[in-house]
Amino acid sequence: MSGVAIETTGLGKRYRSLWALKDFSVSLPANKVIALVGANGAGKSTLMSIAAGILPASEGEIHVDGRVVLLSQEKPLYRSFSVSDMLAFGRHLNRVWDQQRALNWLARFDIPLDRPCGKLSGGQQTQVAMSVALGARPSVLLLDEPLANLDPVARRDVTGELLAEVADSDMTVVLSTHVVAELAGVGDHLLLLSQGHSKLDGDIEDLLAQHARLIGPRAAAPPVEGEVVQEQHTERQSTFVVRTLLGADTPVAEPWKAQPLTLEDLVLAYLKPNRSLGEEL
Amino acid sequence: MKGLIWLTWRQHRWPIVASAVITVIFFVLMAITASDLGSMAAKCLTETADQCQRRSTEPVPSHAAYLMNSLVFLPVLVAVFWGVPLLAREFEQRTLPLAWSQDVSRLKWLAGKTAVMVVLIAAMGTVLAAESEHLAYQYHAYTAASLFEGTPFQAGGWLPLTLGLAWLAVGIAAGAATRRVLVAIAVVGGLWIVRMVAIVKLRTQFMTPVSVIKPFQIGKANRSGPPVFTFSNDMGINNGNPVFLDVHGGTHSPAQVMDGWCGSADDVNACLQQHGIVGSLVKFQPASRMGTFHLIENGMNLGLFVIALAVAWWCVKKTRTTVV
Repeated sequence: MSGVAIETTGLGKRYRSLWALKDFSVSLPANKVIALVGANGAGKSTLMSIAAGILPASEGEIHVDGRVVLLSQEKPLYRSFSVSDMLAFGRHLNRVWDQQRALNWLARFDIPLDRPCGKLSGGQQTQVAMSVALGARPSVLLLDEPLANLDPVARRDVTGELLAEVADSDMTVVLSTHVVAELAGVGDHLLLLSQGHSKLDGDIEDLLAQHARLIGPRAAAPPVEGEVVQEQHTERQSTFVVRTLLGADTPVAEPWKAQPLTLEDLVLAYLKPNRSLGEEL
Repeated sequence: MKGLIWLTWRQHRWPIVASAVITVIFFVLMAITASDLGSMAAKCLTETADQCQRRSTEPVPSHAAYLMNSLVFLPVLVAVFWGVPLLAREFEQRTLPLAWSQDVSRLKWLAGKTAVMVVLIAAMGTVLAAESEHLAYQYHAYTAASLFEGTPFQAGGWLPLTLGLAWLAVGIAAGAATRRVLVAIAVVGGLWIVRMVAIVKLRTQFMTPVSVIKPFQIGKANRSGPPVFTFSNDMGINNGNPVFLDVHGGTHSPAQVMDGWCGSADDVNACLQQHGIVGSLVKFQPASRMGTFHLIENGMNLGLFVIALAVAWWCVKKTRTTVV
């Protein structure tokens, strides 16, 4: 398992007749920030809950390297507990606890320790939940859409601090989101889920280097060999998102043009090929 | 376990503190009342029947009865303020994913918190049950009320202890099953009423009652009406009303005989003789069975305790804390 944080083989989870995950096999690298992307209902929370050990799988296997902590999207806190009490909660209920790490996180965001959690703002509650999660010194930190209620500035601050934590430790962070804009500059590795299956899995830089947007006169097929991920046509023009070995460096004949994709473009091309770019999934 | 002790204390400290205060208050009041009743009973031994009325309506015995009656209802408060919030409040505030995603598994979490509560309730229940039994005996010593009936029976034989434990578990199970505090409280209230009604009917049937035929000694007793048969510390069946027996072995209810045939008779004895009534059939549970009855009821309480905890355990095991 060296170098691998989470590995699944034929993993499946069924809720009555609905398969939330089906025949799911991936290998996620350690000490990276892994962006787990998918629309609502894609199976992100199910995968994280199984990885955290709080939900049994219906079939298949999963191996997680080291301690796992899950911070769910609701970021639950005991409303009557003060912030200090929440740290005491983490200290008492975990075999490993790093009080200083938790305090440092709270200090970065100026969270008062003596205030009841119920009287903190939504953003402050997120920081308290994050401090409890980080204090447990997880090998794998699973963040299930934790930044949803933060404003863009706070979201950027939190992701920046998270990256610093990953750089300073051997922690792996799995960041789940359905807001593609959250991903910019955050993730090292992309795992894209759709309807309980893995649609795309790999190092983000490699994936971006392997994809290109080809724009040219209306045509039934792109001018190069490769997997067509998305195609859109107007009366006189065609646009293809293609997976090729050279990506945007693929030589194309005039008047075709090859353009690189952003991560957001790439995700949207795989998940919602008929939606306009920049739209939330 | 240390962590779960801390967590239980931090989350439930007000009910714990309030219960401890109530326990001390009840203990002191019961001890003082029992002491007063003991003194009154001892004084009665040196007085004539006219001087010592032994009335249960006097202030001190009334106070004792009030205390014992209140004690009998404390278990339902344990269910509402201790048991129900353990899971229902966590469900309502959606904090279970937080608690169960730490290094303590959900079943260890349930077992640990329940164990802390059981120990605390057992400690408080032991103190109260011991003193309530003492009070019941002093109440009996002064008023001669049977220890085998009504409140004195429920206050004795460690029943307050096992009832408290059972209803703690019922509260936990109700909270686990309904996941809503108010709904769980309503369920607990309904079950408590069912239990009260059912146990009164069941208790007399734990064992087959003893039947005794008491012949009337007509002409020897200088009183109107049949003699009253009292059995100290026995449990009377049918509220202690005997069934009348005729010369052919047939039985007649008190209402038929005393209200119908002989209700307006000047000479009740003559009336009874005229209708062939020769005696009465008395059914009762003898005092010697009181310990067995306490054991049976304690066993029922502990059975309820185990079943309710099993229900709570099953609910927690089946709980899904995630969305798809």
